[in-house]
Amino acid sequence: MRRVVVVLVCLTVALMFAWGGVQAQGQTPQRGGTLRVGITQEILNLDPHVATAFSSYQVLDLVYETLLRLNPRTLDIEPWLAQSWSVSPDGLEYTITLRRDVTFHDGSALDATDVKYTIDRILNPATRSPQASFLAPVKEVTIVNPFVVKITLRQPSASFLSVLAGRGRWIVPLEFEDKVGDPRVKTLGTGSFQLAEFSAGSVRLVRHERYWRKDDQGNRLPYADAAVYRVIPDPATLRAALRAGELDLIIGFGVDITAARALSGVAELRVMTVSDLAYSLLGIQTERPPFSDLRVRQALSLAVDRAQLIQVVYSGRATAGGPIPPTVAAWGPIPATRLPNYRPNPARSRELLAQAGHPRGVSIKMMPIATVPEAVQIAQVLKEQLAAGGFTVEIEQVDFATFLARWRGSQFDTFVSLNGGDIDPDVHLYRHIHSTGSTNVFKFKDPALDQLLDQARVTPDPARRRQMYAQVQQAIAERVPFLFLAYADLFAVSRTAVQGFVLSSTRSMAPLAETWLSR
Amino acid sequence: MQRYIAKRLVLLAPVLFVVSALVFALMRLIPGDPAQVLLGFENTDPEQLAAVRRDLGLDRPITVQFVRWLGRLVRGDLGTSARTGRPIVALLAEALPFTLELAIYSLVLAVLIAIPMGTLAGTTTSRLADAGMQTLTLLGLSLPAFWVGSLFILLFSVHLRWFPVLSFPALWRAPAANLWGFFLPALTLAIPNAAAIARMVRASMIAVRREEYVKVARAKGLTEFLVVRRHMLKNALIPVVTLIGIIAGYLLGGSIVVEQVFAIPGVGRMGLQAIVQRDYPVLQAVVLLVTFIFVLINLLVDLLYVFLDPRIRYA
Amino acid sequence: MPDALALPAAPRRPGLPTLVLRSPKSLVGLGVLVIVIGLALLAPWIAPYPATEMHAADRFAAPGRSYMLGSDFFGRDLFSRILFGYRTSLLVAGLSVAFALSVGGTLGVLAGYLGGSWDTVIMRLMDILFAFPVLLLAITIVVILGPGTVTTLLAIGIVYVPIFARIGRGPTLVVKEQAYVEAAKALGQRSWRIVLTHVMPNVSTPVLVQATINLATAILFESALSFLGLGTQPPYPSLGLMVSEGRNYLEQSPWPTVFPGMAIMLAVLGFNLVGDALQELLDPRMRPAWTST
Repeated sequence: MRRVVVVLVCLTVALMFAWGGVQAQGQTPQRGGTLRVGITQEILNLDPHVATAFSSYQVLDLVYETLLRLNPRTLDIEPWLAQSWSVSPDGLEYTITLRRDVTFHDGSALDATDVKYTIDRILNPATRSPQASFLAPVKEVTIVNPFVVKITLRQPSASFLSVLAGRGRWIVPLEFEDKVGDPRVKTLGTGSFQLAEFSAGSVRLVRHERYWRKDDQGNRLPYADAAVYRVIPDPATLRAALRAGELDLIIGFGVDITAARALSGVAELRVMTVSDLAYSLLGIQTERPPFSDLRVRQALSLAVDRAQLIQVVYSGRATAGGPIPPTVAAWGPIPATRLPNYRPNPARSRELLAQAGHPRGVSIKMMPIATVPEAVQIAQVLKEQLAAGGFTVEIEQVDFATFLARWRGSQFDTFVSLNGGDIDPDVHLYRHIHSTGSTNVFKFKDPALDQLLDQARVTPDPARRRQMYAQVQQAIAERVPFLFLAYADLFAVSRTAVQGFVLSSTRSMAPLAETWLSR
Repeated sequence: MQRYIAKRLVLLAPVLFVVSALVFALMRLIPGDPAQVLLGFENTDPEQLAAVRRDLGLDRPITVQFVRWLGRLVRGDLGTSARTGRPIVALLAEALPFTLELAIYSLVLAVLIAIPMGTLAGTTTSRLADAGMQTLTLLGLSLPAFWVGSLFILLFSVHLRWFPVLSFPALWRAPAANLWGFFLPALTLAIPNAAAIARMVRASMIAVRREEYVKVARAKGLTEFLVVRRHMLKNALIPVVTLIGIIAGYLLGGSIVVEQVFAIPGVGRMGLQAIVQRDYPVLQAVVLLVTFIFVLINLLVDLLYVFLDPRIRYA
Repeated sequence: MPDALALPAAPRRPGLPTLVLRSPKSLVGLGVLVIVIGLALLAPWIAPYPATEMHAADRFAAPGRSYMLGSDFFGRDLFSRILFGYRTSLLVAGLSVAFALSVGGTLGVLAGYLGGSWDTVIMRLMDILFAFPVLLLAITIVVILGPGTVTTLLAIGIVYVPIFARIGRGPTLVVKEQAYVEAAKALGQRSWRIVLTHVMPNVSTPVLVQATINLATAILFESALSFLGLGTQPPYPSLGLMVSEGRNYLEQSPWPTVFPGMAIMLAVLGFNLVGDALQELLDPRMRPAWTST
């Protein structure tokens, strides 16, 4: 009898441990606590339709929402504030049905009038919204009923759904400007958190108690009571604060591969990584000699050894990329090795230069952007590489404002910078490459490419579109408007207590709604 | 003496005027356009650019801009930041407490360290002790602040966890935690100043020691301690007070580097950002404020001078 | 603000041997300076590697046989970079102080000698320059002219001008009142002659001392500016820039931050030691308590 009791007791104890163990590993999110995120740039402007700085996006991601969204993991377009939608066969009418359970931070309910107001606001010249160009195809917005909106386009736009899912097209309430006063410092959205305090050094957001999303168990999101962004411009101090336990999460700037490596050995920290949509580039002024000659541009591309660049600057944690990000498989990114002018060949580079009338090589200037540390490192490596190809590089390091001025006015030979990427190839490429593109500072004009791009953006059939972009990629590598260098791996480091955060290629902070702190 | 004070105060206004005019002009010489910085990378539309420039008042001739700014200033309106649109007075109100606290805290630390050390060095008869003190002070003067600060953070905040990396609840909310959090940056800033003050104290001590009246006092049979206290210290402090004035001025502007390393959102960093971002209104306000404080401190120091040594006469 | 306390009639400046014999401190200082300046001058010949040569396979190497002080993020040899960095630091410090000394000193002497409205105008100008927060002013100048070694030099020089103006003016005022100057004037000697023969010797002593001190601070100043990214541009080495670059990777390896900082400290210390010794020697009131006189 005693033996039975002993066994029973042992079993019970064992069961208790097992059950307790499951609970500890277990996925029961705990509510409460404050998520402390460290960022390197000051947040300047919170107007959802005007702000373009990445620092602003980090706050806007949590405070506002879009009609559709990109799944942080798969990058698929999903319904969000819009419950469902349909597109007319001619591709000109988008009928969007909204969710009925969404409330703004002031308690008012979301309806079709808010969507119409938002689009009108963006397109209104008085707003001076940089998003207007994305919504340029829109002819009019009609309200069918309180929860259904119809958007009519002037011509079919293959990327329109992607546009509706992207940052910057956040939905604001009717009479938004009257309600908030100054949208640069006050917010009113539907997002999981709302603005509580805003100062130069930090931003404090608190939970939106009537946020519409719930988790799988039916608990209302977000889990955390509050989220705080601390501005720490110095990356070394940023990482020190994380290590000392004064921050919970840092993402992107301030943590590159070397830092990630160093921090991966630390017990209380977890390193996350994902492939980035953003890419480093060597911009070229194609109207300025010697680059006005195509052969010189091709020579430049041949003189660059992307693999070595990746090894030195990114310790191998990047992918040599072409015009389409390698992670966006849907649009058929051609591997860099199969694109023309991508395999390093300094001898051929010298040949081309000689053919173009520069038998003794050329001298060029290179301007790295000051705010991205990798840009300077890339410039230094390129200087060495290009020397073998016949290019003598002088690195001109200027501060951000001067860089911007020269970028805008196309006053440069070459520059090194980082461009944000997009899952939609048109959004990713058009504005840089098309002769009328809003950010085509390269002064690149190629009628054939223009035509290809114009066609591709109005072709709704994905298979056909994919074919066209295959052609576009080849053409870009042939005609060299600028050099795509690498798509780096994106890193985020958090304390192990932080659970549920998904690092997305888009660097979106929205997953903080599902993030919780385990005690 | 009243006339002297009055004269100095009257001279204050023209100095400030010239300084602000100079800053205004200097800023416009910097390449890069605040309107462009505001618009960033989104697009290159020249119309948008022109519109933003109009908003910022940059389309008017420079003299008009200056006069408008001056007019607002006189009414107490420091303008709004070109970068964020927030009133500069509010930005300064947020940033100034950090810088002031850092400056005062580090000055106090510097004086606390320096005066005993300098006095000892100035009065000791041990060659070794003097040499030792001198080495220490010279070392203190030779250390780059950004280097020391970085190493402090690495050692004391990250490895030893004695101090927090991100400093600070506000002083009135949690004074102990605040002082503790600010200790490392204040110490970093204090080291070179403590060294300078200590050296000056020592030098003054030595100089004064030779004065006749000290010898006379000794002849009268006063004890060494009283001699030091009554005669030497007071006169020794004169050049020290001047130095403190200079240092206070440097602290205000020179805190830039320490604020950068320790991520303190103070006035120094605000000024640096304003230059980098071409935020003219903010930069003008910052330089004006710091200059104003500096000039005031100098005036105070001069008045203290008179108080400490009535032998000094002003022409 | 009252000027520097007037000096007694200038003694002849003692020569180097006297300096060294009287003060062990100067011996150490001079020794350090000789090393630092020597290293800087000989850099192109004694540096084991070119300063900008990258060795991708040897990044963050610890100090050892191949890389005496270790290597940085790009695998560049720290020792070589420090040697060349010394060249920059000393060049900028030297030239900026020379600039400030000549321009400021001249202005100060002029103000003191000519007196009257000249004096007021020049010194008010100096006051205004003085009123600016030092680092902010330097940064503004550098940003206007574009970052780089030359502009750093100019910026630091400009900021130091008022200091030398003050130093130059004081003794000039004193000398002006002296009897022998009155006599010279009465004899019809030209002003500039008077300035050269009588004023300069009195001024040169404090100026020399100040210059040594300012050489030390100029090195710190230059390193602070390049730390902030406004000085010498990469890939060329500059000690402040090296510390700034190294900070990002402190967890990987402390050496790229530690050694350049120590190098700065050493150079500054050398100048401070010498300046100190000079000050003691030339101003008898500064001699420490334990000396006989």
